[in-house]
Amino acid sequence: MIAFRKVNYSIADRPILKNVSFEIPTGESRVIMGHSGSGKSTILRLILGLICPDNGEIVVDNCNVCGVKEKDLREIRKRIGMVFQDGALFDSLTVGENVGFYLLEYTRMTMAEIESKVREMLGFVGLSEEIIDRLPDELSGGMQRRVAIGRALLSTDPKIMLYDEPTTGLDPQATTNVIALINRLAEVKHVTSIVVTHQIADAFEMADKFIIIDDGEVAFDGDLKTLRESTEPRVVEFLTPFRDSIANVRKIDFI
Amino acid sequence: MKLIRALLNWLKSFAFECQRLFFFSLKMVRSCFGRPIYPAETWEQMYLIGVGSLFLVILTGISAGQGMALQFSNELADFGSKNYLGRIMVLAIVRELGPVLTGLMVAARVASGITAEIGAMKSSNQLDALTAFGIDPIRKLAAPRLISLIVMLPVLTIICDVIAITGGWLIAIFISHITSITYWTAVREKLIFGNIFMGLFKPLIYGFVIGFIACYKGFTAEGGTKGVGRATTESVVITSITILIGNFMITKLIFSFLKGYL
Repeated sequence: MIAFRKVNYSIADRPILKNVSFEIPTGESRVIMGHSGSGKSTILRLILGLICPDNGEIVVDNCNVCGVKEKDLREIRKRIGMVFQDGALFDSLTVGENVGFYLLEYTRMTMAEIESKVREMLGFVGLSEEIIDRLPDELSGGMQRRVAIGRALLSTDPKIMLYDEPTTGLDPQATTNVIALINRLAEVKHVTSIVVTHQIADAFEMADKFIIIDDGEVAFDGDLKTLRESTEPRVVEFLTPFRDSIANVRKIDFI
Repeated sequence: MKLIRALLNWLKSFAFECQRLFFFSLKMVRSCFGRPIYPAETWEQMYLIGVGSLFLVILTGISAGQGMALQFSNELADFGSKNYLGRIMVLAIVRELGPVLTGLMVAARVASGITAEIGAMKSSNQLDALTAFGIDPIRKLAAPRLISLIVMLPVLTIICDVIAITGGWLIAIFISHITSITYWTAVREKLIFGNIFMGLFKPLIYGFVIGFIACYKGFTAEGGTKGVGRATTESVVITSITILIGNFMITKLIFSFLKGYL
């Protein structure tokens, strides 16, 4: 379970999040939408404990992330997989070293064992084993995102997956593949997922419940039906350009 | 009123920067001790910094040594003291020029590289990715670089000193017509504890200064590629200035404490 309780966060006296509260039960998926710069990605960084809120409570699996010791935070992070915007792959490491990064750092597995797990994971995320020795720069955007998902999955067998703009900048085919992978993970591994995006059309393919952040505040928190019927001016203003997308929502097939 | 407010703001940001610098230095020093350690990364950095800077240091040493020897031998000839060339070369090279020139060369080559690398990792979220994996980026990235610089800079300085003094010897025998024995005897006379200590203590401090400033600038780089470029430039400028100012201060300090050994 992930819960935000009256969380405020600011940078140099400029408020980024204002009194943000929401709750995501275990195993559920939630898409956080909002304009660029509305504070969506900040929520993910707060969950990971990369930054601390000014006040409020952030609870991840009954642990309050704010104010815990670095050692405890590390334990919480072990339950979380994070796919950063643009993948954030380690550009001096090969695809294989990126995907097997956690195993290389934390386990005493032999190189052969790690390679076998990496190959298995590349297959799971729909990538060819041939790219194992390539550098991230040599991959397309969609492939980089899938490598990033593979790296997050092979790290700690996470119970929570956080995706920061996973489909931004991808072509339609790559977008379809990444969305299918995210849905497949939620279904097969029963992970709690939070997807941050401002791609509205993609958002409706990835979850049934949504949060809309507007100017650092939660403008909406609910399911698709409630979203369609919402008369909240900020929600209406945000969704107006995408009315057709909402009307034609369907979940895409898995890979 | 506006001026006072601007001044106060500047003082505030300066105090904040000092505080950040202090805590970062504490973190960095602490990260050099305790577990986990990263021997592979440290070894790789030692190779990159040490072997990578070798050509530059050799070139600096030979040109500085020959230039100095040429200048000194002409002046000493006027006083009929050419035989003292070796002594003066040791004082100039081992105590001063060797450490400073090596420090400046390594600062220019390595500090920029470290800042750019860490800054680029920060702007592409790779540092956050490391943290998300439960890895302390300072321990993983900064500590190996700092340790490597502290170890390799004295080694490079010794190489620079040897090359420079050898360069001086070539000038001594071919241009100043001093015998090899005279030159090397004079060199040996001045290679005493105090001079060697000064010549090795300085690069230790410079190694720390270069590593610390370069990593700090990389970790605090903000503003995308432009910010990384700015941080890289600042890193080289600040390390160079610190080395030059620090050189005087260390020399003064050693003169105060080790006068009897010099």
